[in-house]
Amino acid sequence: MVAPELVKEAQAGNRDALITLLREIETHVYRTAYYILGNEQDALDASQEALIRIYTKINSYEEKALFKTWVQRIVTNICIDKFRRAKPTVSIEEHEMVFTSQLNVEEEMLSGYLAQDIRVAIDKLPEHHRSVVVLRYLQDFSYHEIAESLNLPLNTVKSYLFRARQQLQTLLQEYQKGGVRG
Amino acid sequence: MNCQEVIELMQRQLDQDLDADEEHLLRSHLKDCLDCALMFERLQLLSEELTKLPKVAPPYSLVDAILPRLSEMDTQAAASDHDVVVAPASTAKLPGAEAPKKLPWTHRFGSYVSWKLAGGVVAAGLAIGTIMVGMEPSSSRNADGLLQPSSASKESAASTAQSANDAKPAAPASSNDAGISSMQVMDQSVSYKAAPASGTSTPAATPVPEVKASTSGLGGGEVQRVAPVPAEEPQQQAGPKETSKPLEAADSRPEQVNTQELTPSSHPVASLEPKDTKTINKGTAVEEPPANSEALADKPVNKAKVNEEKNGMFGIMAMPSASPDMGVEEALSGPLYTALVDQHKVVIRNTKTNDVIFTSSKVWTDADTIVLVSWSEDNKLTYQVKIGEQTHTYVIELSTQTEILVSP
Repeated sequence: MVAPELVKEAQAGNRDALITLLREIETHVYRTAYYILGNEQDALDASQEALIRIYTKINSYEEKALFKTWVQRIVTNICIDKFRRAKPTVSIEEHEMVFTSQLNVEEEMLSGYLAQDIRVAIDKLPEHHRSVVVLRYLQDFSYHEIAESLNLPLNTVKSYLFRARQQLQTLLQEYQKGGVRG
Repeated sequence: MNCQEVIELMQRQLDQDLDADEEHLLRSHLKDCLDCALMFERLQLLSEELTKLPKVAPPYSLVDAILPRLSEMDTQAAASDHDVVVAPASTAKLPGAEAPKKLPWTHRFGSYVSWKLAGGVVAAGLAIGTIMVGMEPSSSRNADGLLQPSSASKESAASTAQSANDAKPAAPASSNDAGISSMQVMDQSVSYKAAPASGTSTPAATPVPEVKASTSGLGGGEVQRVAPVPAEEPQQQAGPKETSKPLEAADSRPEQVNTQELTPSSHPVASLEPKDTKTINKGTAVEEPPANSEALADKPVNKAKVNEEKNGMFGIMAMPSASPDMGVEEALSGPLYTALVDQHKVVIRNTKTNDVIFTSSKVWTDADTIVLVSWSEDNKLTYQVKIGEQTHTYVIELSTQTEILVSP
């Protein structure tokens, strides 16, 4: 990840270090934004906002947290707060997320469409469930790191992650029905 | 184990969160439970797909995209400190004493700031101060008194304005707006008088020479720098051309003026106010500017006056170094060492040999004020830097060759 010395230099007022730091993290910032918001344009806007905020608030980072979790916290907050759209998020308790698939059996196509459908499905997750999934799979964060980033208790993180996966796997049931058994 | 519990294990297994025993439990259950086995298979497949989600990257460099905004922000941050400086400009007692607040991390951005501007504003403030010193401070507790300067200074000012009027072309008129705004203090009545007399479109020009004339004897070197000060308050008067701007200013000002400490009754110019808003549309240079100048000058005047009382303007005269130039500005001798301010940084020399023992890494600007406070018995130098309205105190300890900020 990012070298701690770079962070220290940046906080000490070294503007070049700060800019270098931003360059090192910009892809991670964008990636999270992309998957939380679901489209490129919003992701570009949000991640630029996040980078600017990191730039201006660099001195508010305290070493007790991991730098990467601090960064991800900023990104996720911006995504959730500012760019919340009236998306048809499904209440995960009430509804089974069932998707009908019009696929044939071929596995390559299956995995291709599956991947796409999974993306759509993630997009429909409630935002906190979505954030947990994104941090887990796109940032490879541990439960603890996710908890730190989203400022959630560890058990809540697990609960969100397990629920999200539970719902997403029902998608696969359809594929299985359509493919293997159909 | 029931299936519900096993599903929990499955989930944790996907995150490598199971210990050996738990793994065993899971596997053995799955052997015997088809539903769970299928569920686990789906979960694993899902997890794999999630892992395979494309690691997208931005289509262009985001940092490059925001660099202009970052620079703008840095400039604005520095500039907004400037604006704070402009209004109570007269609180700048020392020439070259003003600067935007310098946080350590903004230290590099000093180059974005126009120091000429800062210097010019400071000089303007100094000019006010010196003028006010020349007046009777005791009687003027409020702007009222200020705006009614003693007749003596009024007359002399007016006469010098008259004579110097021709000498001063319109050139500084447009550029001296900002400086003028605070210098309007005692000038509005002057300009008011001078305006009809001169009948020119640049009554604003008159205060300039007037100020220069009266302060020339007081180290007017600084005042010279007023000229290049660019317009800070756009709604200043520079002739009928700028009617639109003063128009807005005048329209919005009346309420503000009234809320000032002015007692309209005793104020000669105040009676203009109601008239102004009506006559303003005629676009006469004569009537507008005084109203504007008076209106706009009120605020700085009040603050200036108050600050003067607070800070003891007289002290300015006593200040030794007015020079904005490089070179040694101050020295404080201790038993063993002497501290100097050399080229805007603190340098410590051995008193006897004059060798440099320590050079501060903190380089200030000619807009900051460095004051060498004292030497302690164990050879620690305490000094203060005044940046804008903040004073920072540092201690240099020679034994450890350290320099630390002790306050704020």
